[in-house]
Amino acid sequence: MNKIYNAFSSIKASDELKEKTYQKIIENSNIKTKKTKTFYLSLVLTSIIICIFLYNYSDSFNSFTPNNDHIITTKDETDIIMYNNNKYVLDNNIIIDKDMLDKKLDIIITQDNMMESYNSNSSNISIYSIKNIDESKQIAVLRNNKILVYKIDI
Amino acid sequence: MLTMKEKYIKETIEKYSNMIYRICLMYLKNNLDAEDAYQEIFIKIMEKSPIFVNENHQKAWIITVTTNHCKNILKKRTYYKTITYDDNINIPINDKEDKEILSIIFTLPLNYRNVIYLYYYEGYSTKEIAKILHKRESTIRTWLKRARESLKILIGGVFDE
Repeated sequence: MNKIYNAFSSIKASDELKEKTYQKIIENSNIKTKKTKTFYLSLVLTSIIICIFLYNYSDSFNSFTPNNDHIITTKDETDIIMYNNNKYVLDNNIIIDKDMLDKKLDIIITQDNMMESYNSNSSNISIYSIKNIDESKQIAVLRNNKILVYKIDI
Repeated sequence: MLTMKEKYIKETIEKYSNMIYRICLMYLKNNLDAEDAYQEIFIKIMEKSPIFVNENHQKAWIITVTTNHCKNILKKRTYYKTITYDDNINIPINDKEDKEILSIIFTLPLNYRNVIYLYYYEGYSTKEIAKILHKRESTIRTWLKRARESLKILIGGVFDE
């Protein structure tokens, strides 16, 4: 038994092998740390991008589904708006405040608006119904924090 | 100056180096393969490094990881039909007598030499070996008995239980 013990004792890993293994583990550990850092950094960046996107478009996701089939905007958006296949013209005589807005009907997104929205978040044109007023007669348009009233053009 | 992690790695290597190397050599019977396996096992150990209850727990876990890793290498050898070194055992030992005894031990079937190592060198009981190797204690006892009988024949008078 003693001889077996001695024989096994004589098997030893060389110092060179130990050092090589140590270096390899450190190398692996560094690679792993780098990978982990890269992963978390990209995760954080992606989260920030998503947050910015959600912040900019949060208005778009609020309680309605855009139905782009009937959203038609004219070139002269400030005067005429096509909504739900109806033509609405600006009515400068009526001024309402935000309390009068009822429910959001739609958002008009035009090519120009899309471009603008990357630079500022005030370019969305939101269409609202007005409290106690039939939306087929009058609608309110929120643009650049300004409320404009449009009436149906017969 | 070494960081805590580097210190832990150095200490672990220093502590378990010989044991892992011996097991690798016992399984793979070749110095080069054993060195490769040894490095891979240490990387594996450092990557996983679970929390251990005590030193014995850590040692037993390392033995299990080592034996499993070596078994996988042997499986791959069989699968890919790569060259085995059974006929040309390469043990880096200078002492003639030790080399002779090891050569005899290495002729035993894998399970027998494994049990012989864990029982006579590491000092584990048959119950503990059974736990480490995930075998029944009666199986370990049988292997140990047969290994002793074989060694008695091969080593002759030199072997003393």
